[in-house]
Amino acid sequence: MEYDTFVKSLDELPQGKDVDLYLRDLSPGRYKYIVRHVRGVVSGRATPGGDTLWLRFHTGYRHPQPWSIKITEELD
Amino acid sequence: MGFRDNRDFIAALQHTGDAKVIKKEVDWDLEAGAITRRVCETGGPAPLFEKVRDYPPGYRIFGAPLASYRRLAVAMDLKPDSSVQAIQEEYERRIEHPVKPKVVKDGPCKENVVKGKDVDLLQFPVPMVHDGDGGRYIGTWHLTINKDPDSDWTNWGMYRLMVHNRNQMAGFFAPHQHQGLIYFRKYQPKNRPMPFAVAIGADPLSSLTAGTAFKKGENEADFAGALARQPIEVVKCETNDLLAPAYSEIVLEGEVIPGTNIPEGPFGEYPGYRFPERRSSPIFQVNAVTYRNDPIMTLSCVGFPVDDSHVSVSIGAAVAFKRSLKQRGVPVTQVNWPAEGVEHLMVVGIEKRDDATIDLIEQMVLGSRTPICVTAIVDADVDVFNLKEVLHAFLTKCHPLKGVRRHESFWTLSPYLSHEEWLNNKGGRLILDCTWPSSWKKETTIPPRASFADMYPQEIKDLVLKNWKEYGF
Ligand SMILES: Cc1cc2nc3c(=O)[nH]c(=O)nc-3n(C[C@H](O)[C@H](O)[C@H](O)COP(=O)(O)O)c2cc1C
Ligand SMILES: [Mn+2]
Repeated sequence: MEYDTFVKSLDELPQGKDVDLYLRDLSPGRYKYIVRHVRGVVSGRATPGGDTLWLRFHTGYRHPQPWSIKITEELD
Repeated sequence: MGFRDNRDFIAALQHTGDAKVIKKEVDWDLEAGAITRRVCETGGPAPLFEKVRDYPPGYRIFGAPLASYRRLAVAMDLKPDSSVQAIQEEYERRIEHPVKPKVVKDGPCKENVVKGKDVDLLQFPVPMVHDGDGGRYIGTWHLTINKDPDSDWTNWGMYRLMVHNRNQMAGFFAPHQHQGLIYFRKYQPKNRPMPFAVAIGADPLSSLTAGTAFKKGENEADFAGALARQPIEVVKCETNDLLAPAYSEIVLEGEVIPGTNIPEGPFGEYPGYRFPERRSSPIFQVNAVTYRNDPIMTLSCVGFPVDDSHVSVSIGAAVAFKRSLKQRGVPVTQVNWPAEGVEHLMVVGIEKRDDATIDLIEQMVLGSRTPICVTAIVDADVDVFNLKEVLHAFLTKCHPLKGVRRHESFWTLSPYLSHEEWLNNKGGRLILDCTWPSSWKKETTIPPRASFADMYPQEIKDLVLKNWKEYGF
């Protein structure tokens, strides 16, 4: 799966521990960009069994390198 | 008479060359937005996208509905090439006579009714408008209906709405806007959900009034009726008592839930930038959706001028300000909010300058809840609708020390303001006095303008005009 999320800055997103995030589901088709509220662990590199996570700054610009996320819980 | 239906409006625009059917399939994901943006920047006809990727035939998107004065003129049943001044004067005449809406039992917007768990906002081709926006915006040219629980006031406002998931949306509404006023004063403090209805693709003048600042307590529907010169037909919602325009393409019904928080934005905005802000919004829970067969989504791709926001705000705000100035006894000639000025520039023409008049205009600008940032006051011989003349007056008549008044004010979507100013609701307003000092006299002190119109006796001008072709031009 491929997601993205918005961050103020890269420092704002702690790696290696649980964080709550609003993710946009980037699967192509009619439901692209639908939002999921999840708990998960993010990493600046690929995570085995994890999903791709693109980061966008509040300006809308996308960080060039993808991160990854391992979703541990659906929040709502 | 006005159009009671968005479809008749689109047909009329096609007839005048101001709308174009796009038969080639386009993607709702950025392509429709990019085309609409380019239309705004090149002054092209409004696109009606007939075939949208991922969506069934018949599900269409109409872009840039009122992004030109020509389209506004057509919406008002005027000649398409009417001048801004002519449109404004007609607008002013019409809104003097509000027309109450007519409640009808049924309407095209009820052709399909979906309720509860079956609600799916993404059954419609909701566009991703600009690359980097926070989500897909279902509300970019629409009207949001709210009612004051303590009076007969029903407000129509246009406030952007982003899809969160199949049945929830996030919105951007400031506390000084009327939806914000009703929600933050009447519902949120009591922890009561606020009913709403959102009408997408209503007739053009209903949408226009929703994007225009009328006074607190005034029903935009009455002014839409005034502009259309016929009552707007409204029909009761399925799940609340709000009344929505019966000919709307799509009506979303629901409640704003206090105490909830979901992200909203960023979004490319009317000053011509996307602001680096991810805001938080209460949840707009959608409980029912009704829509016409083969529904048409509307898309205003706001940004660098000129788009729908600039055109629609320009007319309503100018007329409102002009009327208030007249009521206060200001000898006003004309007022213009040039569309190119992204709602931040107002030009006020006055018959005769004196200090009291400038003070009064200044006071009224400071008391206005519009995003007006720069007000240029010009003499009667400057055409407020001609930006070349306005710029010339500013550069030649505004004294850099004595002619400029600066004031603190509330925050606006101005790119030069800092994040701290945003948090503290701080901004500024500038008044530019581009008039000759009152003590200067025409015969002895005021420099005559070195133009064809002002520098030559009438008989010379007549002669030159008469012989213009003979000179070889
Ligand atoms: C295309 C368009 C988009 C707009 N988007 C917003 C918005 O997202 N938030 C907002 O507060 N005002 C927005 N406005 C301006 C308001 O619609 C306008 O201030 C109007 O007066 C609001 O209604 P009200 O005066 O009843 O509050 C928009 C206007 C237009 C024409
Ligand atoms: Mn209002």
